[in-house]
Amino acid sequence: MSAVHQALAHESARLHVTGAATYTDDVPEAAGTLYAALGLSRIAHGDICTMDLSAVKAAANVVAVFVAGDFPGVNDCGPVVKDEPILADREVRYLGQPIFMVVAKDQLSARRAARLGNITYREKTAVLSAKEAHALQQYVCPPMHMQRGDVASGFASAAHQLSGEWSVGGQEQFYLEGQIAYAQRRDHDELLLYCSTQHPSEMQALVAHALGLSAHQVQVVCRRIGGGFGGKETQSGQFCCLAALAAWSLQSPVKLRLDRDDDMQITGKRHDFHYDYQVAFDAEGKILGLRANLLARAGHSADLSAAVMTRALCHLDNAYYLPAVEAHGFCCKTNTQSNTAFRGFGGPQGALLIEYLLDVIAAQLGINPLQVRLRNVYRGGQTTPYGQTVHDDALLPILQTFAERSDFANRWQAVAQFNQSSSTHKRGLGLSMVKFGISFNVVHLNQAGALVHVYQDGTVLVNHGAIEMGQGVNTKVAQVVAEVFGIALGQVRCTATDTQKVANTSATAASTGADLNAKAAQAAAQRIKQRLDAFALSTQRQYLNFAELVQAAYLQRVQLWSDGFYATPGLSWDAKQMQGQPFYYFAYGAACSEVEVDLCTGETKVLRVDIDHDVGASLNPAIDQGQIEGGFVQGMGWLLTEELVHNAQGKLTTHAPSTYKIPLARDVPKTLQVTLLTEPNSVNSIHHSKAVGEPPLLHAISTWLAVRQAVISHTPQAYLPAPATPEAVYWALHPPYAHIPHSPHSVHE
Amino acid sequence: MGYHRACATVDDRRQMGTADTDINTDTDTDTEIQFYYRGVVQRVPRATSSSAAAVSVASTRSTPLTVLQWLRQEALCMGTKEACAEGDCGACMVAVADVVDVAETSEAGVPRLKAVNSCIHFLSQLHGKALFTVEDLATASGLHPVQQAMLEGHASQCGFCTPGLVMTLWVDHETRCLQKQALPNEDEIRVLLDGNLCRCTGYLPIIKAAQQASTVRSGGFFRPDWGQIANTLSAITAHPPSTVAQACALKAEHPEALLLAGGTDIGLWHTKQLRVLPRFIDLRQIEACQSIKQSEDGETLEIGAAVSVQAAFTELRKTWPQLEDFFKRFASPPIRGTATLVGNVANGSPIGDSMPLLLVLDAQLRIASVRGERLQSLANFYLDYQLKDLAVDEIITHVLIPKIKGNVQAEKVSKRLGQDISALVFAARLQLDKQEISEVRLAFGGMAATPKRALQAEQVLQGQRLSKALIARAVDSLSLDFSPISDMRASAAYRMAMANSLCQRYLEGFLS
Repeated sequence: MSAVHQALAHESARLHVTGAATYTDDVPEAAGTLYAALGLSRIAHGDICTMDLSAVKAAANVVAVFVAGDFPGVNDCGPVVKDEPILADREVRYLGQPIFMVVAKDQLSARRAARLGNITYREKTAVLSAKEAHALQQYVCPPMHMQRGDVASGFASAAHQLSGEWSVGGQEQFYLEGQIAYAQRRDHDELLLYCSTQHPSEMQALVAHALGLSAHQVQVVCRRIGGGFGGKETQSGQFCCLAALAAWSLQSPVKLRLDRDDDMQITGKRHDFHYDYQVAFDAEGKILGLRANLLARAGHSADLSAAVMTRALCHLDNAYYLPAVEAHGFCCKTNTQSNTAFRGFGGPQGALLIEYLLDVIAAQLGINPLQVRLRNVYRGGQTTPYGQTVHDDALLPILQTFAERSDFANRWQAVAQFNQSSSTHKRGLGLSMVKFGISFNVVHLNQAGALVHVYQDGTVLVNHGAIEMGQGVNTKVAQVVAEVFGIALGQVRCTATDTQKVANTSATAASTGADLNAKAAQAAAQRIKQRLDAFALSTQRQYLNFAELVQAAYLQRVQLWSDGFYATPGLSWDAKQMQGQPFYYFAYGAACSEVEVDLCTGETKVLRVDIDHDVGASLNPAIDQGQIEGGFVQGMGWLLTEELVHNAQGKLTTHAPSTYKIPLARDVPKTLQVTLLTEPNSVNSIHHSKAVGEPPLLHAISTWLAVRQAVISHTPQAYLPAPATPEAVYWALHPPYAHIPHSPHSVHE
Repeated sequence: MGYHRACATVDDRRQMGTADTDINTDTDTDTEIQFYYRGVVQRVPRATSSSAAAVSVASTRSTPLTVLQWLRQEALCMGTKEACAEGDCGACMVAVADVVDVAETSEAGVPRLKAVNSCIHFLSQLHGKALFTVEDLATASGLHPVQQAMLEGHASQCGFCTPGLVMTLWVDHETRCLQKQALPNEDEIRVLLDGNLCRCTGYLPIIKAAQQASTVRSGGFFRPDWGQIANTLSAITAHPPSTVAQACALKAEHPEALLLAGGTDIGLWHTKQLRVLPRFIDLRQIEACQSIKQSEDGETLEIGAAVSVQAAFTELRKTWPQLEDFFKRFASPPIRGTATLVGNVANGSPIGDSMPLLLVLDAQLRIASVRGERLQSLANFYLDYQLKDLAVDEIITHVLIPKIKGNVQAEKVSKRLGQDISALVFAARLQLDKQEISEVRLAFGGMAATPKRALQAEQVLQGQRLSKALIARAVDSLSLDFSPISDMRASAAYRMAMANSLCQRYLEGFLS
């Protein structure tokens, strides 16, 4: 039986359920391990006037205190732009920014001491929202512009126009395993770092930069992480650099494990977006022109915001053909956490706007959400606003099949009938699609390496550049390697990601983990397989099994290990013009959600969800199903209950699960019907499968649209932002100043 | 650089952990925490109080340990995880069995097992109990059905929440095996999982795995030897106080001491506020506080200070079945199983969920001290924000709840349905005599600095004939009773709007 295309269990499942899976904090501690904690800024913006850390130093069990000036290299951990101090230097830029690090003999002593800093500030005006920063033209990177077609004539020829503003909130990754780094100084001036990261090579580079070391002095090892979701792509860097600084300076092992509240106060999240838009459409609801400004709250530094905005602009079209577009992206510099990667990486924020506008257009014309989508969905051969042709004619058939499977038309009627008969509750039916571009938007990142060893007993060890964070990349890579050799999956083992095994790896991100690394591992395995085949042919005999062949080959001095490398073909990107072929292929899908809203409280229940999702020739349908369900529920949290609240002083007041509410088991709809679309990928991806990490998150857009449908059935001109918390829904249903006409859109007929 | 137990397997670590804690076998049992774990009685030195820390001896520690800290730092059992350290996520879930119940119910052979958030559970709370962690579940003969179903059902992704989930499901599975209970339905499983966050799976495979596992009731999987555990634990001497008088004497002698029962809030003072905590007076061994009794006339429930929220709700539901949905929104199952109803009242948070209900039921508190015992109406107990009519030497031993039937209702509004802190809690009771309101109680949480009755609105309604106009006047007068605040949970305006609409919806229910 082939090892690929099978619903095999996650390689660590047995370890997970027995508690034997080792995460960074479970690595046995070396004798003499010290513990670090961070002193944080208590204001959002200002200059440090005085910093008295005598009480910190004098606290019980404290060994050392470190400040910005203590880095032997450069006090900076910016991954793209060097604009991000590891410890605040003279200026603080957000409330929660680390200013000093205390190292003590035990964790509690360190954490207690970290609260004893006596710091005075000269406060400066804190800019907290994207809109405020945009008004000041304060950005972390130059504004971006994407243009295609003749927008002015699109508007001129259109029967209808709408314009307005809208917004969506950010989202905390809420990986269950918090940020942690454990550094040990080794002999010959080497540093060993265990950490929870999606990007070991970046950690290696950042630590070397901060400590003034060369890359070959720093080894980063990570067996698995307890969830990442983008939050450990760059955000782990600060803590790696800090643990490394202490371990290097004190010549003792040092662990920095953040308390959850500190973790949420310090690290970046999904960017909240503010939109203003003008859309022109014909009498049928076909979009003729779109003008949009996308304002992202980037936070105090650039981090990955430019790439996030690029992906947002590249997903503004989502599954729909936009003949004329003029879109501008602004990464607004604010005195808040530096927002970063989060599953979808701007894609969801881009697609959300067009899905929203389609529903607004449909309501305006009195057609339903399915009809408006049928009129706008991409046909094969049409071109995206950034110049890439959508070759597959997949989206229309997907939508048509899905509409039938989900019984959309009948349910649309049933919901309308329910709403007529109920005065206490309203229901809504939301429909959304996905067309998600697969590949890093930055071309050079689309490469991967792997190392495959075949041992004399016929067992195989694989090392590759991806991080196992629950998505099952190790399982998929092992399946691919087992397939090459024709051996059972149990014969193949993936090991910890280690910068000493595979160099210059890319982040495990952009849904590309298995696409890139399984290809690299396959290449490595195939090289060994070719040698074995040639050897077998030369010996003219039959071997009982793989182990016997390997043993014989070894004795004849056949090389039984190999490296492998993969670079995604055909990619190009002109960042200035925002044109090119940034994606190897697209992953598609459609979703429909039905919700019920309580008019009295604004509380929402998701009743039923149907999802059709394109996984290509799935490497592992069980894992892919898990990614789809999990991604959908995570997206549902983003759009319904997860609300990040900063108070007027800039303090994030939702900094723990007590105040920040991710979905629970009982929030998941009773009926969640996922259908895998398994048409093989038309490009030569790994076994013609498709990446599945991020795209399914976008299906949750249908839940928010459904809530809005329910709301406008009661209050036609309602303005509902995202997330649709009970309070947001309540105010949309019952505008606070009902006597003032409250319309989010101005309508030009 | 030397490695400290660097190569220990989980089992080796456990042995070492046991050996470590066995060192202090000679210490006075009063200074030792003793509990059953991994087949033996573990003995851990009790933390000294902060005042005693100044003269601490080497074998004691000045800081209390949580169960999670003991597991990970001392026993080196790393299967149990920390993710939030505030009892919200469930990654640290362990199981605790009650020795008293094991002994008392040995005839029926039904020990009381509960899932506990080990991150906010003090090790001292384990004294005399049995502890189980994820390391217990797999045996030489294989995985437990819960683990097997999770594995086969693709119910783990990153795996970090998995040990905690496994323990929640194991407690339910083992309890149903012991009590020969029916299989849980899907709704019960969803509520059961309120105390466990998973960020990867979307929960569906976990729910299915729980259903699958629940069908497996026999086989060679791990079952605790309850008889042996009962015997082992019966040899452990309870720590004082065991009577109310003893507790009062201790509180008089140590007015700074913290009264501890469930400890689900005090745990946060330790893990989040990093406070140096004074000594604890643990009320759970006081027999008079352990039970729910009917008053002699059968008209009042007396709920002791050691009674869990869950046990209290189970009893209250018999009189007021309509409150079941409300009860299911109080924290999470593990918190309900650990926290006490009296603790919720005594803590007196303005956003505590139980107090508005107790206020409309005209609950009273029995308060004891060396100076005697008194009854205090709950309505007059809360003076201002975190200020209560309770002297430093006093202890609330019981909450007394009159079994007033009829039209009692309670509702909660929060961002999330399960396990959330309320934006607002509304409770009400109304008695109609013909068409006139003979008695009415309206109370709110989240609307003021304390849980509070809406006295002005009550006055508008009292003795009046119910009508739409009257309801409108009553609802309007809520703004005289309350001026709520805005915070991360809700704006002041939303709180006020919710107070109005829930109150209106409740009252209009009597018109039809």
